[in-house]
Amino acid sequence: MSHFSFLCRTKTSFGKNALEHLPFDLYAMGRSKPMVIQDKSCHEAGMTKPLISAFKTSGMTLGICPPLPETDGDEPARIIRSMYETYMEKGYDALIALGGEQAADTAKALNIAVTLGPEALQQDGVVAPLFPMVYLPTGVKTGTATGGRAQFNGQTFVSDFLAPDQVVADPSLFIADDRETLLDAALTCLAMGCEVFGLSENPPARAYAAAIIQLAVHPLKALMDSGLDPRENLKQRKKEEKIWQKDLVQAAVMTGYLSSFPLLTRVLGLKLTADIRFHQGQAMVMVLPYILESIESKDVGSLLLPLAGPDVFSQVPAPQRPDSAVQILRSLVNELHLLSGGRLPRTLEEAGWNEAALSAIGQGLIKSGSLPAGTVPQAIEALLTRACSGRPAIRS
Amino acid sequence: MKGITEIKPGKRYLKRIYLSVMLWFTGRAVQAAARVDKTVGDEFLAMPEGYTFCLGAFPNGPYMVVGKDETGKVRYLGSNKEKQPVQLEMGLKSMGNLFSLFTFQESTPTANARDRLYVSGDLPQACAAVRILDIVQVYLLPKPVAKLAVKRYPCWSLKRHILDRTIILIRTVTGF
Repeated sequence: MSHFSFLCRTKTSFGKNALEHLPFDLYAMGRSKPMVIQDKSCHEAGMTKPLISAFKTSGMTLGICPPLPETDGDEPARIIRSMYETYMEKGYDALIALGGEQAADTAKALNIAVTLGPEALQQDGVVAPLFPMVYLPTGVKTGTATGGRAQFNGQTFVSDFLAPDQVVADPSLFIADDRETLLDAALTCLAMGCEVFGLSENPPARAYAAAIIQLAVHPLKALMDSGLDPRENLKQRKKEEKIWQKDLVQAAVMTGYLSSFPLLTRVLGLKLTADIRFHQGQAMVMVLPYILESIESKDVGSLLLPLAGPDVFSQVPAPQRPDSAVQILRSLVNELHLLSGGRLPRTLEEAGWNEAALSAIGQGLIKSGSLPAGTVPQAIEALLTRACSGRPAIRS
Repeated sequence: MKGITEIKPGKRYLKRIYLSVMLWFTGRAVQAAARVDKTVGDEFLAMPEGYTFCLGAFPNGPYMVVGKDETGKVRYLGSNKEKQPVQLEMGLKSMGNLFSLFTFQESTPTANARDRLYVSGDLPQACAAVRILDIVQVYLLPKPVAKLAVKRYPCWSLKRHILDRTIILIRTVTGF
């Protein structure tokens, strides 16, 4: 029996009118005056209206901050200082982040400052539980907002205490995402879900991962069937996108819960999209088959079940399942290339990388020690070389 | 911080009036049904003497309070839950949720499944109270509307559908 530990301290509420429960849940946490931090897109789309409406008869006072500007340099520190002063002066006792990763990261940083004191932002770790924080996603671009990670002023904070106490995903708060964004989110969720499901020996995490894969596969298939850029029937298109968005927000929120896991797809995805501009999800799915081939795990075959469904899983003999699962992922990348008219790359070479640059990335990752524990350094360079040309591993 | 907006809580007068009327009517119908319908009477019989329960919306109501007095009679005790000790508090997490329930957009089991209902008190008594409310809704509402409010419309005798319903409606209006 393997040893494992798993913690997800976030309550997830999803669905129509889920927002109406928020005042009750805050009251249950002993809070009565929350402060709302929103990003620019939420402010422009008027997303505070449903929130205000949900709090109308709650007896609670809401403090709504002006939208966060897209900032560089010392600006985030100045904003946090100003928010900190207001929070303390007006007696707020909880935080609500509305929007994407920027709003969530700012709320997490402010929560560190108001709970542990502003000097805690200069230190590395978060060593004590923080005040209640609620995250309200408005689309599929949630990133690590639901996880125990926060980026602030060039600093990265990692702690289980940083995860929001509650995530409320109410469709009335969703801002329409375009197909490119939906596709990127689906691929990111799929890649991270597949890596956790195929390679992790943590049963609760694998259960989350199976759900993520199933939630991502359905809209991904529908999106590919309907085409990446259909020009006709705008009304039908918007209706379809709305349905896919709901599934993908759920998948993205759950993927965030797994962001505390060290995942090779994410490390490589971030590195590969830092210099050359293409979608992170695409990069992650492109390297995923090579990662699954490189790292020996008895569970790669079981990946076929959430990926292809029970019918296909039962048709394929057990020894062939790992290859079938990897082949499904490769076919997905190839099909996306075809659908996009060659715009989406199939290999890292098509994305603009060459073997020398990838070798440098591999060595950089090995030297920096940012690879997940248990990763064989030699395997990284080999898998990047294979992903560059699109050459599968030869199995014995 | 410049530009922070403080939103003070407000009131929804129309929704509150509608819900107050509905809860008043339901409360008096529970009182009437306990005297006319044997099933409802038996449910109350199993409850301890002086047992009181209320149904409403978090945090400021409106509420309806129904209780059993020392003589075993069921009485509608008004809309103020602070007036007497309440052994079982059943509530919807917001007035919007209660409004959905009483406009029959959602049935009680659906609201429960969607995590909108909270209970503070004994769970068996809460289940009994929900069963009583289901029966009362069937008495009060016409069949197409009652079908939306309960999980399964019951197959009752003609006497129960016509005679008992008429008596309950008269008693609800007159308060006897």
